[in-house]
Amino acid sequence: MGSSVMESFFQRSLDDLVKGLRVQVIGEARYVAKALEETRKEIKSTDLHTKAVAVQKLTYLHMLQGLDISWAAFHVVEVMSSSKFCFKKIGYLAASQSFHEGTEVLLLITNLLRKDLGSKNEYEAGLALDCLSRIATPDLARDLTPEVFTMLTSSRLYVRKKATLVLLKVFSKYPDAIRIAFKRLVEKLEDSDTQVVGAAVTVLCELAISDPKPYLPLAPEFYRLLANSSNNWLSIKLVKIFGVLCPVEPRLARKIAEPICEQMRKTGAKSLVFECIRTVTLGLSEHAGAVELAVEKLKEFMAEEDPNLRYLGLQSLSPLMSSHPWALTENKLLIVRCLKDADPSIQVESLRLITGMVSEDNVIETVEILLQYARSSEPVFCNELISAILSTCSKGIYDLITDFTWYVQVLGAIARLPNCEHEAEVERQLVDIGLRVKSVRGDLLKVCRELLMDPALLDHAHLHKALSAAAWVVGEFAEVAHDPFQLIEALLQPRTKLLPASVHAVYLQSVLKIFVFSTHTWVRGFVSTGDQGGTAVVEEEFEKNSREGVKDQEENLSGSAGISSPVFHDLNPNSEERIDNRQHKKPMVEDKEGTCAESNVHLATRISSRLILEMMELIRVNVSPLLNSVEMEVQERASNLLGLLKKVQEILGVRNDKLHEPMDIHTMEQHSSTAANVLAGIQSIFSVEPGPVSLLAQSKVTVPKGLDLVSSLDELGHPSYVDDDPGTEKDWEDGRFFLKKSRDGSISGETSSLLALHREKHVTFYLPNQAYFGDSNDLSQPLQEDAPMLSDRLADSLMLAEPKPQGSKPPQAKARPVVIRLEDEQEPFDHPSKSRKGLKVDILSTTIREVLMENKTKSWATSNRRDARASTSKHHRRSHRSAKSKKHERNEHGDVVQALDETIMSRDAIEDDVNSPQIGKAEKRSDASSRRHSKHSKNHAQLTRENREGMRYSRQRARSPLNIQPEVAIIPDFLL
Amino acid sequence: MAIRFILLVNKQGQTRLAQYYEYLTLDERRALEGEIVRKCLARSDNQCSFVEHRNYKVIYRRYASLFFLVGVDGDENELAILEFIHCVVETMDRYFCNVCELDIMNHLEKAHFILEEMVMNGCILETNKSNILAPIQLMDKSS
Repeated sequence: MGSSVMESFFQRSLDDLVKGLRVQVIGEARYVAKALEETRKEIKSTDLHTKAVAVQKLTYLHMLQGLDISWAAFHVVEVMSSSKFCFKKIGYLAASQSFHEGTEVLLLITNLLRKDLGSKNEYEAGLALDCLSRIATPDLARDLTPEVFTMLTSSRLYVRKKATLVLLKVFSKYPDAIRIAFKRLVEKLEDSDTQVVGAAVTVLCELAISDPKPYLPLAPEFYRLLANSSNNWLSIKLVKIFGVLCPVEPRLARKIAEPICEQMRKTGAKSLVFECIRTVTLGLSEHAGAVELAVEKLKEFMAEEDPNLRYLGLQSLSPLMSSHPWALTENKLLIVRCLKDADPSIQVESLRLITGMVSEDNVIETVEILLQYARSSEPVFCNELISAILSTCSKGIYDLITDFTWYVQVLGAIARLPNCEHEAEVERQLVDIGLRVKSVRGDLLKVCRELLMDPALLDHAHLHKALSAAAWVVGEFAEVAHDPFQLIEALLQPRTKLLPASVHAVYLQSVLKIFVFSTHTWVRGFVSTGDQGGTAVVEEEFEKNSREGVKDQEENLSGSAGISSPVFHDLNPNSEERIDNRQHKKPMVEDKEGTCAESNVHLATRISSRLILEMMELIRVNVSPLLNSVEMEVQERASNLLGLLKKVQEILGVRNDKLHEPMDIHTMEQHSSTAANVLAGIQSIFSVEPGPVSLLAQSKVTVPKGLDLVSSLDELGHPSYVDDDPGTEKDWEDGRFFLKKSRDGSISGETSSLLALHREKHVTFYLPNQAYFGDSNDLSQPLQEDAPMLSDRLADSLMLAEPKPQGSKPPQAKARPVVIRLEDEQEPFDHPSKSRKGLKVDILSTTIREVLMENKTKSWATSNRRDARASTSKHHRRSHRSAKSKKHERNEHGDVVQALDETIMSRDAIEDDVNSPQIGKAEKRSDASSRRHSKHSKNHAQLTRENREGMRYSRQRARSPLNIQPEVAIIPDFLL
Repeated sequence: MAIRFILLVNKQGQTRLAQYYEYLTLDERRALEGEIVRKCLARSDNQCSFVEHRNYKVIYRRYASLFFLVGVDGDENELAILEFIHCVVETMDRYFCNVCELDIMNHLEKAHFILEEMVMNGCILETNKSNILAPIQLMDKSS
């Protein structure tokens, strides 16, 4: 005994520990370790005081320093079982902080909890209830349900309210407890004390949020409470309950709309107003009046100084976005103003609303606003804005965009924003629009050229992706370029060294394409002017072009031959203005040249012999150093390009010697007819137009019969990737196989024959007895063009292989340019996406439903008994009712609404009373009720009771048709 | 369950009181506290008091050097929680007479008791200050 006194005398208390921790000089971690060591010794003490203090210190260390104290669990139980309240309290606190379902000692404390729950000291019982609410396991909940059940009727308020609230935990851990205790929980709604009522409502609210349906029959009760509630906390809970009940029962919504509005109007508490707004937006969105009021209140919120209200105001508007777009447009100014709020969360919310408002009519205006904000805001939000613009505009297949010229300029502007981090998306969209929208290619090219020509942009690593797209675009659509020389200059500018290899490779590939295109055009032009007989052909060609507008590239090329034909010069007198008068052009050529610059015919290119010569020189000088590049990709393309250049120069008889320029031009022109065939051949390689690829392309591949996709392939071992046939295997790896398939039906036959061949050669690598892709040739042909994919366009296909967006609407009939849509992009996600919620059997809700039904039988019995005592008015009501029931088939919810009607009636009665102006309160009440009595032979008390009885009665009646679908058959008469 | 946790944190980001209404392992708690506290402390006065973090909505309010943080479910009423925080502070204020960080540090068990009276199983149980303080004052008298 003596030792324990000494022990506790020298023990450091929690206070000492806390203070020590603040003034320690040895470092926090060491101090804590030391304290823990001490506590470990103390906790083993036989003296309860020492032990309790030790446990208290451990709780502290656990909570604030995050120490694991599960090793002390048994000591905690010892302290919990102390008979002294002050120790017990320490023990319970430690338990509720550190115990969890996995704690083993929980098995030991059932009896302890049972004893404490039954304790005479209400605070001890309170401790035990608190603890149970924290650590309940299914076993504990099951074993202690009877105790909790008894406590629900305890005469002590403190115990009763805690016991009510603990039910929530008990129900969730042990659903069978609902059968026992639910009825009593519902009774608690009528408890004499508001705290208990509040606790019961809280429990029901939480239960209803997870599954509202079973609680519909309680709606009249909730309504009564709401009408009489003077406590905002309680009102909030009740309004919240209605918020979840209304969506499942539209008739209830109709009844409750007005009372909710009234709450909104009369209360001064913002939290209650907010809850009402939320309920309206979620459950009462069909009631115009309620929504209008809610929007009005939201407007007030958004105009407030308090950022909290602004944030919540914006947030609550979003559920109205689809159902009540006017609510947003009406407040557009307020919302847009929030874009420059000091709070990023508010900015994001307002951005979400703004993007939700975008339609075809206001997309340009909105995007301009967003862009403007993007230029001036912080990097993080700037990127939010950019991503919002990009995703909104590309939604579907650019469904919102009618003016693509404008949109590609926006893309260009976005790429230039210094904080932009969405360059990958810009890249994708630039390429995608180029592929899909033919008519915008000229403008797209302009935007891309500007990006490429600005040497400053090459410095920014984040721009490289967009630049790569731009380079690809100018290469691919060179035929609409006004000035190929300038493009090549831009693509070969010295600073391109800063580009990563992959992008640089795209640059070089584009140079190659532009070069081939230019020389080919020149040659064709030259040949056709030389040969007068060609004019007729050209003319015909031109007419065809202008007739059909958009043409296959081959034809465009023939059309380009017409440039130099004098016939067209007269046809296009204004076209002179468009001509880029480069100084070094020979006047002779210039005379001949005209530009058929009609917007639909993408030919505005005038190429002189000297220009070609300079182009060759430019390429030779700039690309030669790249032959030594360490990047293989760059090196290879450079050598391809130079190799081709050399060949062309050879054919044309051009020497790499500046001095002989005039002579070179002469020889060039002489050899041009020889070169024509060669260049036409090369050009034809590039003339295939790639198209967008459907995401669903793969799903088009039917699984061949006999191909087992399920069983394990392990047994086959690892096949070695010996690649004798780079074509197929490579395509397969790149994912380009499907590209090929979906692009063109004709080639898939070819591919499958190739595959069959490959299979013959390498039979070991194939699965047995399968036809692989042999019978998957029934692929649709989603592309508009039937163009064979050529294998030497790897670089292009790298971009093509990117996923393309899905579309849903067929092309619109209006002035919007043609956007290529793949046939299978129509309604890509029409597979059934209905939730299977109905199938899910929720054990909680089924039990509750059962219990509620039982309740009704019982309460009906009681109400029958009361009937005997009740007055004659009851009879009147019942006969009225039965008359009604003859007319209409009843269902459960119809009755709920009816019961609610009655409650409302009774409330109206009360209000009538209150409104009568003459006398003092008590007098007024009795006077009024007597007035009512004389009218309806009912007094007030009876009235309310009867309402309740009526409710039960009606619930009982509803029992039999419960098996019928509850929501069917809306009976308008009930709702009048 | 509405309230998932209540944290009291000082300006330096040290936890002064932590109450969880769902089980998290110590590591999870430490990580959560670290992230949330960093997020909330970084915000300025003219920003709103709500922060979304993982699946929680955190509602916080600053009183002198102490931050009160409450983590709730998605469908909880933010304004009501703000009022609740204020109610907690007022209650503590009444009990400690001008509550400060030190009071809570030195009387942690009392602070806990107050919270336990107010919140149970994540639900707000009591908001009447006299009702909350009655048992604790009784205990103070008896000991």
